Formats: sequence, C-alpha cells, structure tokens
Amino acid sequence: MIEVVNLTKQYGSLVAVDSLSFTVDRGKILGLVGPNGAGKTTTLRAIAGIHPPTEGQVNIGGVDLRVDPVAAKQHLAFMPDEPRLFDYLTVEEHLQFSARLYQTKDYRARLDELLEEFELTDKRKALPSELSRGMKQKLMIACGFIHAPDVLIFDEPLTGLDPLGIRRMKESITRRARDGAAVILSSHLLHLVEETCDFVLVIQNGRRVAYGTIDELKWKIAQGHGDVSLEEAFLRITAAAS
Amino acid sequence: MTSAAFFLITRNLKNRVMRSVLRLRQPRYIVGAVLAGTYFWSVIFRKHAVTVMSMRQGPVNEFMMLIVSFVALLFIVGSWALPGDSPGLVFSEAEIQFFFAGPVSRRQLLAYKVLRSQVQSFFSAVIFSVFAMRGSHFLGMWVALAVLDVYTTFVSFARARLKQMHIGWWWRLAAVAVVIALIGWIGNRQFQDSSFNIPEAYGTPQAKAFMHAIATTAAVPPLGTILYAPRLFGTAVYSSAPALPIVILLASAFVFFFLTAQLDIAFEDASIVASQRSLARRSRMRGMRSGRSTAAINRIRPPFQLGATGRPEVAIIWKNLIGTLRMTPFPIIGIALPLVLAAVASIFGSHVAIAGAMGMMGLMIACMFVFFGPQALRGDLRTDMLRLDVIKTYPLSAEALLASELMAPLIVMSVFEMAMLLVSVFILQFGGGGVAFFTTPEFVVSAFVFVVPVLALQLLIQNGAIILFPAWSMSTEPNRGFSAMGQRFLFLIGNLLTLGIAVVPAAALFIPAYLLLHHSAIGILTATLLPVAVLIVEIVVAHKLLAAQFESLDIANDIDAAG
Repeated sequence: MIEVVNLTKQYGSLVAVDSLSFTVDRGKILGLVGPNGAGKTTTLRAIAGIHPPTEGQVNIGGVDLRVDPVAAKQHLAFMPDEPRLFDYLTVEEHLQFSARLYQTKDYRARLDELLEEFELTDKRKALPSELSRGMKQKLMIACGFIHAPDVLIFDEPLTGLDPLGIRRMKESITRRARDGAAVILSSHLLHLVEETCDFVLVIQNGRRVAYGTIDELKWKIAQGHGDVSLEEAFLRITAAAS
Repeated sequence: MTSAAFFLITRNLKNRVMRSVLRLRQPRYIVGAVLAGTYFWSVIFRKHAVTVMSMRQGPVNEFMMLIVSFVALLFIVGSWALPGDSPGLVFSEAEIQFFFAGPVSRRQLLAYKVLRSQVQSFFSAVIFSVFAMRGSHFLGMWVALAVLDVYTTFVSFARARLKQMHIGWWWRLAAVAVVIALIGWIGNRQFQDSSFNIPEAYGTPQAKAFMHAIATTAAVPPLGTILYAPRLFGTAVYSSAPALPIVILLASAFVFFFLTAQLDIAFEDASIVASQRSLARRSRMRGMRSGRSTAAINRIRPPFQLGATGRPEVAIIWKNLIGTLRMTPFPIIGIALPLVLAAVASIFGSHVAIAGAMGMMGLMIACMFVFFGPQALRGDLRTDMLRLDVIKTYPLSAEALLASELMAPLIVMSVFEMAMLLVSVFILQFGGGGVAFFTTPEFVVSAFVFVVPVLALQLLIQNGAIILFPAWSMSTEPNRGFSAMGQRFLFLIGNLLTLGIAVVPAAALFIPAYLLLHHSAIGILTATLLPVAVLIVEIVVAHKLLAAQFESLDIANDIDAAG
C-alpha cells in the first residue's frame, strides 16, 4: 500500500506540493487529476523516490521511503509520462536488465508473457529507435511489471497508444490491482480515470481540493440535483478552487 | 511569408540571446560567461597582433588564399559527386508543422531556409575568423560560407533534376572523376613545366619561399583560369582588398538561388526524412553527451549473459558495457591500436630506432589515454543523467548505483591500458638499451597498478561534476553558446585542478619512497603501492560524499525546464 502524509515539495519560494496526505490500499486504484502545473508529476516523483520531499512522509509497502529507500523501491514501479529507454539495449535486454535489478528469479516465463501481453513478441530484438512512441510506452510499462511490484505509479500511461493498446493497458492496470497491487494513475483522460479508478484525488496549486470515490465527488458537485459527469465535476471543483 | 520568416528568425535569435542573458543571473552561467569572455578577449587581442603581423607575411596569406581556393574548388566540384539525389533540406519539427501545412510556396520555403542558414553561417564565420583561421576577414568568411550554402542547395536540387533525366550517381561520379583528373593533369603539367622548385630545407625563410612559389605557379593560366571562381572565395577571406570578390560572390548567390527556385523540385518528403534523421542524430548525441559520436548503434552481442539473480549492480555494469560496445567506436579503436602498433613493430622489428619509437609512442598513448579516456568514454552516470527519473527508482543505494555506473568505463579503459602497456613493452624489447627500464616487469605492474586508480579518480571527478552541477550537463536545450563554452572550460580546469590536488599527497609519498627504494623491483613496487593506497582512500571518501549528494539530488531544482 501507499501512505502519503503531509507531503510537501518546495522549489525555492514555489510550493509545488503542499501538505498532501492520502492512502492507497492494496487492490485499489487512485486517480490523480488536476489542471496543468497542479503538481501531479512532482507528487508522483516524490512518491517514487526521485525527488526528495521537503517535508512529509511516504510509506511504500509499509517501508518509509526516507528511512530505507532501497527496500521501498523494491516494491514499486514508476512509469513516467515519457518513456526513457536505453538507446543501445534491445526490447528483450531491457526486460532482462529490469529483472536483474529487482532480483526476479522466475522472470523468463514472465518476460514472454509480458512481450505477448504488450504485443512486443516480434520486436524482442528491436532497439528503441525501431519502436513507435506507443511501443516504447508499452516496453517501459512491461519493464515496470517484470518484478510483479506491489505498488504501481503511472504518469499518463496511455500517451501514444492506439485504441486497442488503450483498452489492453486499462485491462492490464485493473488486473494488477485485482491481483493486489496499489496503483496511482495520473491522467488528463477523465474517462480513463472514471473507468479504472476507485478513488480520485484532485489537486490544484499543489493542494488537495477534492478526494473520494468518483460517485462521492459527483454527488458532492450535483448536490442532489441530477447527475454530473466526472469531467463536469472536475471543472467545477477546479474552478471553485482557483 | 517573408515578414513571417523574418519575424521567426529575428525573434528566435532575440529570445535565445535574451534567455542566455537572463540565465546569467545564475552563478554557473555568469562564471562560465566571464571565463569565456576572458578567453575570447585574449584570443581576439592575440588575433589582432597576429593579423597585424600576418599583413606583413604576404606569402603566408597568399598561400592561405590558395588553400581556401582549393577547398572551395573541392566543394564546387565534389558536391556533384555526392550520392544523394533528393534535396532533403533540414527543417525543425515546428517549421515542418507550420510551413509545410501553411500557405507557403516552395520558393518561399527555400528563401526561408537560405535566410535562416545565414545565422548559422554568421556564427561559423565568427568561430573560423577568430579561432581557426587567423588573419582572415570575418565579412569575407561569412559571405563565402553563405554562398557555399546556397550553392550546395542548388547542387542538391540539380542532382534531383539529373535523376529525373535518368542521369544517376554513377554518371555524376564518373563526370566528377574526369573533371578532377583533368584539373590534376593540368596542375601537374603546370608545376612540371614552370621553373617551380621545392626548396630543400624547411626553415622559416625557405617555407615562405615554398608558399610563394606554389601560389604564383598556381596563378598562371590554365590552372589560374580554372581557379578563377574558387579564388574568389580565397580572396574574399584573405585578400587585403576583399570588396570586389565579396560583391561578385553575393551576386552569384542570387543567381544560384534563382536557378534553384527555377528547378522547382519537390523536396517536402525528402526534407521530412532528413529532418527526422537530423533530430534522431542530435538526440543520440545529446544522450551520449559526447558531442562527437554520431555512429549508428551496432548489434554487438552483450559481453556476458546476465543472470536473474546476484548483485543488482552487475545489471548496471552489463548495461553500460553494452552501451560502450554498441554506441562508441572505441571497441574497434581499442583493439586496432595495439594491433597496428604490434604489426608495424614486427615489420620493422630489425630497426632498433623504429622499434624504440613505436614502443615509446605506445607508452605515450597509454599515458595520454589516462587523461583523455575518461572524457571520451562516457557510458556512466553522464549518459544516464538524462534518465535520472527512472534510475532513481532502482532498488539500489546511491553508493552502489554510483559505483556500478563508473565500473563499465573503468573496466574498458583498464583493459585498454593493460593491452597498450604490454604491446609497448613487448615492442620496446627490440628498442635498444636506452629504454631498458620500461621493459621490466616491475615497471609494467607499477604502471598498471597506478593507472587504474587514476582512471577511477578521473571518472569520479567527471561524474561528481554532474552530480554537483547537474544543470550544466542536463539542460533540456542544446548546451551551446557563450556561457556554455565557458562552462566547458571551467569543467576542464576544475577536472585538472581536482586531479592535481588529489594526486599531490600520493606524489608526496611516492617521490621519497621511490628515491629510497628504487634499487630493487620489490622496492619499486612498494614505492608505487603507497601512493596507490592514498588514491584509493581518496576515491572511497569522495565516492561516499558524492553518493550522499546524489541521494539528495533534486534535478527539478536545476534543470532549465524544471517547470
């Protein structure tokens, strides 16, 4: 599970994330949404141990990220919005490399499964330069899945994917959650959030402006007067907060 | 369109300059700019002195004029022999997006391309006239580069038109070969027939006479007539009266532009392909951070099979070794260099002097490689810094990550050093008694034992520099310009200074120890091991400090595009 307590990230005088607290239990998917520049990516990077937080605590699988970062990172996989691959490693070598990093003993079978799942089987010997943007995104995510992590963090995972790829990715994420992973998913695609997430955290200017299940947010906005879409709810919440 | 293009070029330039000026608020840029400024001034003042001096050196300028003329001739004729027959003008992604889809004619696109390349020609002319070609005129250089740019564009269009006329590369190649052979034959006859004599000695007065003899002989028809057009470039750049050639060259640029536009060749598809290639090459260069390596990725097999379990650091070493093998020409150079030395020495092995020279050359290369190797082989954190957001999620401590990042280049360089040492010492066996010490086992062992920690120290300094100053190496923009040049100087000075400081305690121990113990092999080895131990302690301490810094490294604070 993921536990974030009073997470604050400051760059000079700019407070990018301001006292953010939330929890994602095993098997749950949290949608992190907010307008551009709200602090979503900074939040995700702080949780993944990339940016040290200015204040606050992040627990990954029960391990305090600040106290034992190596043990905490063993539990997680972070999939950035831009696939950052090694130009000189083939698809298969990327997966081998990730497997060794995370000490994944039985990775061979999983490697083949992942290649199959992400339609990369016939690209296993290809270099990143020979892959499309969507394929690179799939490979990045497959590398994250190779060690079957308990915690998954996605930053805009559907960028560059074709419709079939989008459907499969959604299924893939929800399946991992069903299998017990705690997932945070940041996306501007509100229909994706609506379809896959159990909870939504809306942030703006680094602060939490709404948090709850999708139905709770909709109900709160509609206030008993009919039904509103998540998009409508998002627009009203962020407009009210600005 | 013309006003839009002018707006784009000027705004682009203005914004870049403004951005560079605004960046000076940050200490790293102001320090870089001051350093680069100091260097520039020193070069310009020196250039002024040299220019005044070179005005008196008629034969030198005359000769340089001839050299430029020959280079121009090579461009003028040789560009017809290039294999490409689709005019792939390189545009940026944004330019393709806006112009190709916009109401812009081909002629306008071409004009824009020519206009835009003037900015690049301008800066190239500054670099050439200030740094590379002393005594040259800046304006003449700018015009010469601009005209060559228009001309090569014209030739690329003309090649496409020839292809439409079923005149392919082989025909063009054959024609160019004939023209070059003809010019060569005429030149040869001219130099044979005239009273041209190569002065036997090459002291300064003789060298000037030599240059003057060549320049005056080349000016006589028919070679002088052939060289008339290329000579315009030479006189524009080096003559004391460059006005007329500049005017003629500018007029010719208009003619070539007009002819190019008249050819009306469809270049859009080829341009998109060329632009994508250019973008991929620049990304790769940025990724490698070598600034030189544009080699395509080869498919060399991994150096060893990576097991699923074991120390995870091995995965980083494995990855970086693959990177070094596949992305750099070093594997070929590293194997070929000792082999070539050995082959040459075996051919001339009976000549003591040659064997001695080859062996010493090998030792010199090995010695210089200690300083240049870590700058050339960058398959470590310097390459991975751009993927820091992924690397920092790896389940490795900062110490383990940093150590494993350095290991691959250290292994590769150590193997190369060992090979060079062994080959050089082997060759020196035939080099006579003057180099006897270098052929002893204690020298080989001592040198190798000493070189490895120095290499490690160098790698640590260079990787440490980007940990301490990440923005200097991680700018999301191409790192160029005035302050970037100063930053590179600063890095170089910092590297040498840190290395010097680190080596002082080791040297302070080595010198007295060597003087005391150099009478026996064991003594020499002992005298070497003492400074090596000091270096190792320094490496361990520096590594721990840098790892702590890496742990708390927050790139978003430093990268230009942190937002």
